[in-house]
Amino acid sequence: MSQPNRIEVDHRRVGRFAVRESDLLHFEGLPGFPGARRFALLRHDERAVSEQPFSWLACIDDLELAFAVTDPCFFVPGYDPPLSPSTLDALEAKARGDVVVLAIANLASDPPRLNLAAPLVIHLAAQRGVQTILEDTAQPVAQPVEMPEASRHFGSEARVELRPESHGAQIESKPQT
Amino acid sequence: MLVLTRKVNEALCIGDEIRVRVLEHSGKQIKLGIEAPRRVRIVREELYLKVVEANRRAAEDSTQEEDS
Repeated sequence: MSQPNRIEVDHRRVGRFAVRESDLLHFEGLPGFPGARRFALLRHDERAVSEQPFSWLACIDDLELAFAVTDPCFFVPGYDPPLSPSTLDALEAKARGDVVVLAIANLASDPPRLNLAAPLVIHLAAQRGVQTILEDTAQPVAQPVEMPEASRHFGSEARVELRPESHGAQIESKPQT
Repeated sequence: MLVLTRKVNEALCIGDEIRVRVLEHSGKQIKLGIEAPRRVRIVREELYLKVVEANRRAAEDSTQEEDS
């Protein structure tokens, strides 16, 4: 089976994976990482997002850069940041429902902390993402949350598998053993 | 750094699309009005720097020592 436009990546942070160009997410840099433009959203294991909520957002331009990301509503029910029309415009999104909102997690911290002041807004269909900064809310940049038992070893265990298309979609291939 | 002096109501242009005007000055506070395309993100510097710091911390590898 031929796999055109497939990029093989040996990422120093998350391991080896393959990603189709059509699954890459394009950012115009992130605060502090202006050169980080192409990312792959990856599931770390086969467990469902509802069980193990963290995914990797791994940079293709900097193979040492990856962020643990999660659906903030898993930890903070009702989190629903206001998204400006300009944010949606920049993502080529017509409506709020076109985009998903993820939070960057700092798992080096104990307890882990979520950045709720600057969520990632991703339009999967357009392969575009942005880290927006919420000017007018009192959301914290480092909200402590409880680490789910299922995520205790996130980032330190076995293999990474690409989960393309949508956060929560099916896993593409079986893990290597 | 380019340093310019402006009076209240005077503005400066950054490129063709961005205009920053001094609207009001009272005590230590200056009120600025900014005209810019919607795609240009405008945030207070201290908040931007907090996000930079949070991103850098989140990017640190907490499991490095466990790798072999």
